[in-house]
Formats: sequence, C-alpha cells, structure tokens
Amino acid sequence: MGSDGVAMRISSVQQGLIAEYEFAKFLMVGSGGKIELAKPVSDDEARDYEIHIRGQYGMGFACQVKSAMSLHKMSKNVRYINIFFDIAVERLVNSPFYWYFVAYLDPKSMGLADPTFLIPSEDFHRLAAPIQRGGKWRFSMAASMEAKSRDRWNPYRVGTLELGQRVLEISRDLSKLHPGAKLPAGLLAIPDVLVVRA
Amino acid sequence: MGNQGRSQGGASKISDVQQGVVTQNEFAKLVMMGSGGRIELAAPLTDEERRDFEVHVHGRYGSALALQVKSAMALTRLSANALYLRVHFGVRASRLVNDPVFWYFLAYFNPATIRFGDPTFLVPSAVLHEHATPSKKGDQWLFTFQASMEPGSHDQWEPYRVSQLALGKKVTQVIDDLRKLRASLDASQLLEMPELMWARTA
Repeated sequence: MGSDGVAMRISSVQQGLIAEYEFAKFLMVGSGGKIELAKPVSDDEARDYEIHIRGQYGMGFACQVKSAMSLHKMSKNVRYINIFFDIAVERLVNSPFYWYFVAYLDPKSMGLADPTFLIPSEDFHRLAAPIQRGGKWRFSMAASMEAKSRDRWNPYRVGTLELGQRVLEISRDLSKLHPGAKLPAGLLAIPDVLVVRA
Repeated sequence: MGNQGRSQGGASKISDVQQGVVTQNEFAKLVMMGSGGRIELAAPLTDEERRDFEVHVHGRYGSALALQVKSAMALTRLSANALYLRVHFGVRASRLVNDPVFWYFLAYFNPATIRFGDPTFLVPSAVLHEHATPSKKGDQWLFTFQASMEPGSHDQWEPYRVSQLALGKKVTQVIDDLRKLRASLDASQLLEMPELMWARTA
C-alpha cells in the first residue's frame, strides 16, 4: 500500500481492522440495525464476517474485506483501486454465499471513499485476472473509481451510504437459493397442496 | 457503554448496543489513523470499570490513558440557531473515577453521513464530573453534558473541542502531557526523602 499522508503510516494490521470496522458500520447503520455481523473466532477460512439479518437463523453469508490506502493513476484523469492477493488453491471458495468487499480507505478523510465494490466470489475469481502459480491462485483487481466508468467492475459498485440496503437485497436474493428455501420434492406431489411464497 | 440519544432518520433504528460498537470503532479508527498508527487501543475483556479503551503510544509501557466513549445520534435544538450535543448518563457513586488518566470522549454520530459530526469533545473525567450538572439520586451520580455544536460558540466545553480528523494528534498530546506531569510529580517526591543533599554545578 502506498503512502501520501501521515495517516498512511498505519500498519497493515491496523488498516485491515479499520476497513472491517468501516464495513460493519455502514452495514449496521445503513440497514437501520437490521444487519448483524459476526467475526469468526479463528480466521482460517478467509471469512472476515458472517452476515445475517437480525432474528433470522440458518441463513447468512460470509464476506472477506479487502482494502487499499492509495489509488493509482492509470491515465491522466482516471484513478484506479488496485488489489492483489494470493490464495492457496485448496482454500479457494467459490460459493454464492461467499462475497468480497473491496474499498479504498482514504487517509485524508479517514474513511472509506465512494464507490466501494461488493462482488460474489465466483465473479471475483473469474474477473480478477486469475493466475495459478505453484499451489496458489493470484488475483489482481484494478477498478476505476471514476463516476462515469463502465469497466468490468461497474456492476458491483455500491456507494458507502447504500451498503446496508444493498446487503439486505443480497440477503433476500440468497435466501431464495438457500437449501432450506427449496421444498422437498415429495411435497409438490401431494394433491391439494398449495404453495404460497412472498 | 452508556451511549444514548436517538435520531429521527431511518438509520436511527440501530440498537443501543450497535450504537455503542459503531461509535467505539469509529473513535478507534480516527485515533489510529490520525496518529499515523502511533496510538494503540485495547478494549478491556470485562467492562466493569467504565473504561471502553486503554490507549497507549505504540511501544511505550506504563503510561496508558483510559477512555469512556459517549455518543448521541441526534442533536438538541436549544435555541433558534444553536444545536447542542446532549448526553445524559448515570454512574454508581462507588464507581465514579476522578483521575487525570481517565477521560471522556463525547460525540454526535450523524446517521445521515454515517460518521461523527464535528466538533467532538475530549474531556478529563474530573472536569466533566464537576461541570456536567452533577446531581445525586440514591447511590447514583447523574450527569448531563450539553455542549454547543456551533462553530462560533464559546460555552464551557469549548476548550475540549476536537475536530475528528485531529483526534489522533490530540490524544497523543494528552498522553505526552500526562507523562510529563507524572515525571514532574515523581521528581517532587525526591524533596520528601530524608538526608537528601542537592548539589549544583557552579
């Protein structure tokens, strides 16, 4: 991570913690308190948070937070966020219930800057220039931070103040995919059974 | 934790516990980033002493500052153009701590911007306990901190105003000042030692 101010001298551990705090804050407050986040006691599955809607059991999704504290100018007026990291091949998780949150932590405003990116793991692993080397996958994401950009990461952009509502939407969509949401096959075969869904 | 105050917006529906966590994390972020990573914060495993954080300078031992975070998610309009941060809380008399190393951090958490509004306040415990309209009810001390948020205000809390982006530097300064104070107190105790002789170069 590069540096362009005093605040840049925070350690990578501090940076990671602050980015996680910021993400949690925007989710909790932006959802009007509906979203709950839980931190795994041991972090050996690359999940920073388990996220669920308050009062709902059995349905949640996991999120990994990635941040950068500098932006890169790839052309005259276009600033990019660059994230790259490695994952051991056997630990790569492709699941609709596993997402990445990627954001720029602005050292001047001491907070996350707009836009942020919320990306399903399957999309991220496909789009972030994957390279397999030895026993590891290397991913490299370079996304434009400019308002008018139409790059490949555009569909995953979320404003910080919209994060809470976006995660509520994702949770609702995922609940339809959840194994518990599928009806036992035999049920539909019973005569006179009426299935009503919201 | 003792955070209190509710706001009018949709985001105000977060619980007191969520508000406490969010504002403590926000404070920790601003202190870490604003000090360029020099300040470390530790949260006690049990919160029985009303300390939300032990704060120290990275690598320095024996000089920590204890902090209690208080927040409100709404401002109070006390006159036509004056918005006030109002925080009301009670402390059991037996647990009231007046110590130079125990401070309060008080702030308005704006639910619309999802961050603190400026100014925030960093107040020594003894000052807050003396000036925040203390009243005793049974075995509890009740305090009401009421500070103007207006830029031109010169109320009693003005000396304790800190902009959120300056919090890291302010906390570092408080810790440094306390360290000097302690060092000078330690030196003054020398005078009480019997048979001590002072020698000075001519």
